[in-house]
Amino acid sequence: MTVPFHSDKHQYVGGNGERLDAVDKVTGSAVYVHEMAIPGMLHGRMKVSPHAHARIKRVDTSKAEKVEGVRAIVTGATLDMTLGLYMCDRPILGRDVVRYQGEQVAAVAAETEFAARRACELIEIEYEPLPAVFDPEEALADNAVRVHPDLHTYNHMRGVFFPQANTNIAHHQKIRKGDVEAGFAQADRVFEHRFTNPPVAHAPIETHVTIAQALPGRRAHIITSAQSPFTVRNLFAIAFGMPHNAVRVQIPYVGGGFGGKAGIHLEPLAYCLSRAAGGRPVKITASREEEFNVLPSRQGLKTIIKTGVKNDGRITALQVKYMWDAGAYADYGVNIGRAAATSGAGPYVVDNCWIDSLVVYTNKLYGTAFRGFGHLEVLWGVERNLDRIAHALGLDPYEIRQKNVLRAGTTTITGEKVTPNHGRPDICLETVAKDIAFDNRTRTSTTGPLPKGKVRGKGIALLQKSPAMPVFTSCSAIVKFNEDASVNVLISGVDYGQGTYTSLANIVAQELSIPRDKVQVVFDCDTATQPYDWQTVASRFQVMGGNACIDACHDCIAQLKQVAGQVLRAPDHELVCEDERVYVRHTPDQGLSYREIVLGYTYPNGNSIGGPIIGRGKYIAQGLTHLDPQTGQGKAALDWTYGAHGVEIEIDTETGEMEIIKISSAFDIGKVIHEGMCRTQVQGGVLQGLGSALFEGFRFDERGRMLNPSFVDYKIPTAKDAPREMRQHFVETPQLDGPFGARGVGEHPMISIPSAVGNAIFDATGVDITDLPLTSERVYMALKAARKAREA
Amino acid sequence: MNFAYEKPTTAQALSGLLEQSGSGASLLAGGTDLLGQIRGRLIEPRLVIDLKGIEELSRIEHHDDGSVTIGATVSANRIIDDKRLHGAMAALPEACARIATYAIRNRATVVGNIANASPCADSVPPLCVLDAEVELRAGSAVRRLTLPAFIRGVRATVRTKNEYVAAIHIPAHAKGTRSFFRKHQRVRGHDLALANAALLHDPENKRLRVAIGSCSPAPVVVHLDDLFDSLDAEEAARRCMAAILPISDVRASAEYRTDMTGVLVRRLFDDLKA
Amino acid sequence: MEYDIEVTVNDVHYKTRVPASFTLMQLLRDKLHLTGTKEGCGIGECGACSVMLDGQLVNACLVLGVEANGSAVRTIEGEAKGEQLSDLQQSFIKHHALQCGFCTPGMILSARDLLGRVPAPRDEQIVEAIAGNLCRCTGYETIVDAIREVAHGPKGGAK
Repeated sequence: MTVPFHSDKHQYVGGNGERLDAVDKVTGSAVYVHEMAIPGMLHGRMKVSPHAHARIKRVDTSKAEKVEGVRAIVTGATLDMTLGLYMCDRPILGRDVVRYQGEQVAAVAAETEFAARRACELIEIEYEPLPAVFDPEEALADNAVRVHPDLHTYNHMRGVFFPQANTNIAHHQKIRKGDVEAGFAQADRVFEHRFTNPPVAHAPIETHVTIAQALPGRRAHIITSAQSPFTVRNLFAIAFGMPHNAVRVQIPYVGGGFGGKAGIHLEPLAYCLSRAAGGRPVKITASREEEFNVLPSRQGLKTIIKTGVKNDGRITALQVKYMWDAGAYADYGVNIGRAAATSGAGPYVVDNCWIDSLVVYTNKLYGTAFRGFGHLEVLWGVERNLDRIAHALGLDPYEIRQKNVLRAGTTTITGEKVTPNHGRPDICLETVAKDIAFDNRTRTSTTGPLPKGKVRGKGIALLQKSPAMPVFTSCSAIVKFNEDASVNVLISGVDYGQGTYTSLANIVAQELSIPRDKVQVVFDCDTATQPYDWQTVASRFQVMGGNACIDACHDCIAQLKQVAGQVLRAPDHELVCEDERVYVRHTPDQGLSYREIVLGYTYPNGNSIGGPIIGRGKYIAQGLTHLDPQTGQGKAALDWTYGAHGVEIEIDTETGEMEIIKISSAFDIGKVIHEGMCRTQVQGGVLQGLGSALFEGFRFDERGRMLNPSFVDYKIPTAKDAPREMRQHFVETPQLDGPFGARGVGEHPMISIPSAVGNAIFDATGVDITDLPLTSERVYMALKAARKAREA
Repeated sequence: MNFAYEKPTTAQALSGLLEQSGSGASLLAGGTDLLGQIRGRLIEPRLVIDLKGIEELSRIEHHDDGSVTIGATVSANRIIDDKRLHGAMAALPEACARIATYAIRNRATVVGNIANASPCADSVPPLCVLDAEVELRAGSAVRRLTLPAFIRGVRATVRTKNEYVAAIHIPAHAKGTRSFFRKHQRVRGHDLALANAALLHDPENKRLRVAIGSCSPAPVVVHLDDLFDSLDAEEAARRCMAAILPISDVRASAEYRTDMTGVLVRRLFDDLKA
Repeated sequence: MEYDIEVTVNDVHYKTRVPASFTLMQLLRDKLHLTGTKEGCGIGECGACSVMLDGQLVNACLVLGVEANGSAVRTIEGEAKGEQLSDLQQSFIKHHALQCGFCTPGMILSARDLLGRVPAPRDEQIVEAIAGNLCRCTGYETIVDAIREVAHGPKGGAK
């Protein structure tokens, strides 16, 4: 075919279109695990530790066993498995030791919720409290309490993660690029700053909930509110020593995840209860209090950044120590420590870079994946740091960023060469700065009087993230035709609200040239029947799922043409597929409808050829490498999504209260596959970022007990907390190996929101705040202290 | 957590139930405090007595002399919707409008708000400055107490187990009296008060007073009649800040509560002068 | 103790028996199998269980099932008329006013309640009406857009 074929029909990529799950969800007919029940099901409840660190001396379940309706009780003593893929350090139930207040120590399955609860209360556990450590910096001291004294014996992914024996360090990620000492020597000024982030809750509106059944023949059936069916199956199979095809994991609609449901959580415990209950299915539903107190959070972080700069703002050296507050267990934590370090200098050219990213155990609720995977935490420090330096040098925060930002031809801190198609952080920054008129602001000086009354300020911040995923991450998809030439897409990335299935429908409909409403992406994920996908995290599903779907569609097209070619007596290259027909390009009347082919074609005399058309597609990240254990150099990034936020705030200086006037956000996502899905992802992520910026964070007392495990005192943004105005901009520098050039944007909207707000506070008041969250009290106290310092 | 449930239709029946069950009974009006407390195992009643079957407890009565009686089962939203309460007594509906969310306010009652006696209760400061009285009944015995006399401390009132709060009585106020309410929260969305305060200004009798909540175990009432002429907001703020006993807890530090009390008082004076 | 109660939900009459400790939310979900109403927190903070009880918006987790004896309840299952989606439902779909969908039933009930009380609400009134419904996914803007359009029409009502 020498004349390229292009169709105007069924062009959905870049357009809108209704969410595939909208009708189910607006009618209340969408079924979540929360309401599922299967015959014979028992109710499971957990008992948790009141102590942050204690030896379990005695467990007595005798009274609990007598409660009417109790069918099984499990304790740590009866379970031998340890969970973890990267770092195998977490027992299903506390065995000899508990390591955080809230750690599960026992569980009961009973005929009723009430009986299970009652029995849990009657389980007697005698603890011997032990000294505990709650701060990651303190946990690094030589004489610190050891959270995992046997760390050196733990299985872990060797060559990728490096636990340090006889310490609380679960992993030490190093980035070593250039010569950082020489870089400091070249600098005109050297700055050292500290920043902190608290642990934060995901707070999905649907809590964690799981139904598990131990089936006869050492098989397991799990129905769970989770993000990654194959990860649940894999960890399960490994932990329980079962073959993979003996474990079936199903995931229906999920009420939010944000990373908190990315791994394996309540499933093993529910399975153990089922096993102990003679194979009856057991459902464990986390209460909201348990969701906060028992299920993992985002890690906290302490950052020390030392920066060398020239007077014109150019960075000559960067040395960072990240101390991650991993909490009691670090399976995901070690990966966050690794991934965030690779972005740990921000989207800037830093030729001399030395980063130590330490994932540190403490006796608190443990951390797991959370939207942004360490990047919000890291970029809090990085972006605040840059603004502080700009102010000290008398430079514009916009200019200092444009001076240092990564551009084509430069190299990242992991040694990756930036190509023209990587993405344009400079354009993202320019876009938001213009949108909030950043060049028109008060520029509060640090020497002038502090403002009174309501004041406004503007702040900007850049962001970047690549998917943090193993080098072998892959995705697959099946596109199968139905009798009426509609298709079912089977793919087990989970759409838990982010809308990827709706985007994929745009892609599949366009690739197959069929009406979009004839594409159904099957929402029930099932490891028994759907093809493999790694995890629905990391903002990689649009990319990898999109590519896998395109591959599957190509396979469908090839099969359609193969049959049509026989019937029409034409070679492949003379056939086109358009608008549910395969026809000879030059003589369109010479064609067949898809309907005639998709389950096989029947000639007039009855001969039948072909058969059901099932397209198979896959995608594996190309060209990724391991990171060098000593230097962190390598290519770990599937792609980089760059972005920026510009924020205008108004502060009531008498109270510290802030109102967000405007947030402008820009991301270079390569290609907008579905306009509405992209826009709403950004809006939601920005609000979640504002929560972290303004008021979210777990608080603990001096004994490590969580003080705010409820919505009463752990506040998340309501409609009243939304900014007056939010704007979203999408830059489209094509990702050459992305579906239609697309990159992901699931996590990015949240990243650097706190940074931009923190920078705006300085602009409005001249006050620098280095710790999150930026509560009214914190802002007020900072203003008060600054006032006192001036008066002194 | 298996309790019995009764819904008496007369005050006599209610008193009878309370006599019988004493400390094992919990009174249910709106349920927005009680159900949370039962869920959290803070209380474990043997009997829950629903007050909403007793018609006389559901009334808002505007008496000829200008006083108002608010029955035990009157919800916060009904208070807000009653236009006649938006005159001298405006601080009360203003406070009710700041309680939780709209859905909660359809159920939460003012009497429940007081009887629960959380220090953060939003309706308490207004009722203090309005000289409201709580009417406690046990059978035919009745007694009336001011708010400060009724509330002893955190979640503690002088109500005995046989008594129920039947109503709140707000006396008539002199012509020209105005009242205001302000609340300081952590977030713009629904929240408990870090500090809340009400102000009453009675020009006819030259009375000026402020009540502060959420900053002490019980509400603090500060009489400022001597500032009536000057309307010295700074002095008023200083006195109020000195009168409270704030704690530092997960919501706020004592210092912030104190400073915000001062801000609230100054702003109440701004409201007054506006 | 258990009690026999009668309740009308979405114009359908039910007779059932519940323990006194059952909340209206449990009655709807576990007894009547109307699972559109969701549990997000159990203490009235999140609004996922918002329903109408005798014409008033309430958090079903803070009402006892026995309190609803003799009452009329409206839930998300009563929003559509057979196959015909309501104006709010259609608007939510059009504006992408949902993502994971867990807060959506409660959100639509709050919106329905608002439109019954205030036919032409300003944006501040819409925000106040849904302020008790926590959403972790959408950022609320599309939800307000969806409700505004039903209240004021596609072009009506300044933002």
